[in-house]
Amino acid sequence: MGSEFKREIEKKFRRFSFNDFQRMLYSYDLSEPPKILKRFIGIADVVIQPESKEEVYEILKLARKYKKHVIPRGAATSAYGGVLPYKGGIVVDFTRLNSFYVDEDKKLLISQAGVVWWDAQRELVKKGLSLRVYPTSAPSSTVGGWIGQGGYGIGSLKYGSIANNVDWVEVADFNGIKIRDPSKFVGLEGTTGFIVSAAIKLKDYKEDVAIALKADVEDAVRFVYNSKAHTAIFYSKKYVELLNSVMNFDIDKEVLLLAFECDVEGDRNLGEKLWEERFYPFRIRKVSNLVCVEVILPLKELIGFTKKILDIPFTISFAKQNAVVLIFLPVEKMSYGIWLKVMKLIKVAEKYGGKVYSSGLWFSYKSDKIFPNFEVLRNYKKEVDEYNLLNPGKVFPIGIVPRLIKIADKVVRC
Amino acid sequence: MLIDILKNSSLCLRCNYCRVCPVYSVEGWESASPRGKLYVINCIENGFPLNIEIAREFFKCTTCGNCEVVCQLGIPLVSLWESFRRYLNERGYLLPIHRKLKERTLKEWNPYGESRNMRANWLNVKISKDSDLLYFAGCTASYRTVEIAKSTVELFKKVGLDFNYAGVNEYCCGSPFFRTGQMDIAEKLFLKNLKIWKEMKVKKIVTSCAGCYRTIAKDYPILAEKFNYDFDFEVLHTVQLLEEIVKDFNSSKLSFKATYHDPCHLGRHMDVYDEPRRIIKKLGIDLVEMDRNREKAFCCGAGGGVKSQFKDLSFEIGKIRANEALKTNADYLLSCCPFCKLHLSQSLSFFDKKMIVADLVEVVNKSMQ
Repeated sequence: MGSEFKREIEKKFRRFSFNDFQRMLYSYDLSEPPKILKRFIGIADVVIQPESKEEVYEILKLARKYKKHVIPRGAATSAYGGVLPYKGGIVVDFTRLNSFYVDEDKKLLISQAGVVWWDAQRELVKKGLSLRVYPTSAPSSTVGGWIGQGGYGIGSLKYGSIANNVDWVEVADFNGIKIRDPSKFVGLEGTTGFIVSAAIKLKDYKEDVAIALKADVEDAVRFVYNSKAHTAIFYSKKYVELLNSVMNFDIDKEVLLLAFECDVEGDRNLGEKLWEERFYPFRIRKVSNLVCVEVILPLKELIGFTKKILDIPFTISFAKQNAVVLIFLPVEKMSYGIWLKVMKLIKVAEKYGGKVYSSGLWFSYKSDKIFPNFEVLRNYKKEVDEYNLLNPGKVFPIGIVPRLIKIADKVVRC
Repeated sequence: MLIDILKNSSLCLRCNYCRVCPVYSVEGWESASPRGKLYVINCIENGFPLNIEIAREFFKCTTCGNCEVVCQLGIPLVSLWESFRRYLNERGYLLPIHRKLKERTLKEWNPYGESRNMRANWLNVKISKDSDLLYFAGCTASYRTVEIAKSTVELFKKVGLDFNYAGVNEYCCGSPFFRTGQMDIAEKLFLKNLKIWKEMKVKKIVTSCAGCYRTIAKDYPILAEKFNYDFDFEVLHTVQLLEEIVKDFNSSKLSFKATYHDPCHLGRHMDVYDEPRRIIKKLGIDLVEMDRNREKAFCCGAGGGVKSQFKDLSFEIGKIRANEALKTNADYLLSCCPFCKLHLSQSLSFFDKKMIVADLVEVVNKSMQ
């Protein structure tokens, strides 16, 4: 590593690390790639924790000057490889950008990128306000992280995806820092600019009322869209069996959790228990080693698709016009074979009109299916990042990893 | 040993819910987070070279157990950290101050290095040599927060509770050494205390210190089994006796506002949350909880060998907790641990706003004048 690059970092920033041990710790996420892919994943050259948006911009200027890749990182609670320093570079840990305030008149949370969703929610509740949507990883994931990743969460049945709940984003790119429309940034994983802050839409706080209903997938679809629930999660029979053994629950069949902003009749006892568990979908890994696959299905194909996976634990989180199916594949040990199984499931979902939940690094070769306006986004990326330094390899595929996965994808038959 | 540790560390989902860790809250680097530490253990198993810098990170942990409470998979993290510290000690990665604590304790039988002969200097009441109830004051209440030990025995006298006390034959319970993985001296202290207790025909042990309570109630029975000794003592923390005392005796009603700090080794480690709150209520004190309380309570920052080895870090944590207490606008910050009292008092000294820090036993004792 160039000594001038190092000296400049030492001079400009307070919180950084060139330490081998620390660099290793900023080069992972939740995914567990097989060895054949792992060997192509780099390690951060340096980790910087900016303490202001101006420092983020300084990092970008430095990245351009030294032609260094620059990778944004929130809490790294995703499993799509979006925060991996694929080819090394500067990892920018946003967790120190963690202040926020509330615009009570406009009902907006004005939050820096590193704020943890649940930290914000706790303060909002004190003011009689609440997030409309938040991720199931809200106890640790960051505002910038979820916007960068995109997707659905708690509240999405009524309020839509995170994309529908961001009023504006403040973005740092090589040209400076500006307030922007979110459309070219939500789900783009920092490839078109780094989100330094965002305005998130809020609602008046009302205590959630959760009920549980015994229902199969068909019943669930019917109930969900005839209800006024803001959140609906279906738990499959196999999932419920694992949940029973982990949590000592006594649920005898598949169940639907519905959460409302008003009082409703129903099984409140089980509803509250499942509501408490909304942040812990992976708790069932206590009793079985599992790998997760997340796919988005159009509602009309949901029943057909789930019939194909009845013998596997899964949950369905309903959104306004589609549903996210989270499938838990039992595994002995992580291997290339497991990845093939994952890809097979995604292929089955695609046959039913579905798509993989997110792009990241691993599924960047599917970005044209994930983003309907992919060409527009690609052109924008070229415009703002001519040297492809902003989180390269994510969303916009480059290099051997997406090629290898794509080859494997072609081999897999459903 | 590493194999057993790995069985648990490799379970980690990396969800980062363990960001509640007080050390991570202050330091902000992955190396300080439980998730990061678990990742490192797996990397070491896969050949990443262990060095003193990595070892130091593993000793930056108060063993508060907050990570264990929030862990989705319920990984037994406190015992994992302690096991890995034992592993590090066995490979020569003992940190200098922790080594010093051991040397001092081997000389004077307390980690403060105070004279063994002065251990019982605080005692100002007559003890009952025939009682099978032993008061175990512990090192901090014997040498640093003697008002807690004094209040405890005064209160026992007031309510006519006979008790015995080992005096200069009370040895450090070994808590700092269990927590920092120095099992050789921890075992030695266990054997010394056990011998005395057997000689004194003790049946019941009452401790003032949350750390002593956890150690004697939880760690000693494991060692007793290892050494093939009977361990048929009933072990209590004073707060568990206080409830009976407050119930049975008339105390004057107190009218101040207080917040309560759950000591990690009493709360998360031993599940004692309700007793102090019931006592506070019974005394008529207006209890105002801090935002983080009970099993989610933030650590004071002193435990697990952190205060001795990483003083600045320990005070940064202490200041966060002190500030949480100040935000309640209470008159008193109450707790049930001499080590927490000492550290929170010192941490509060960094603020202009003041509040009185007291052990619950002091308050109960005063209420029974």
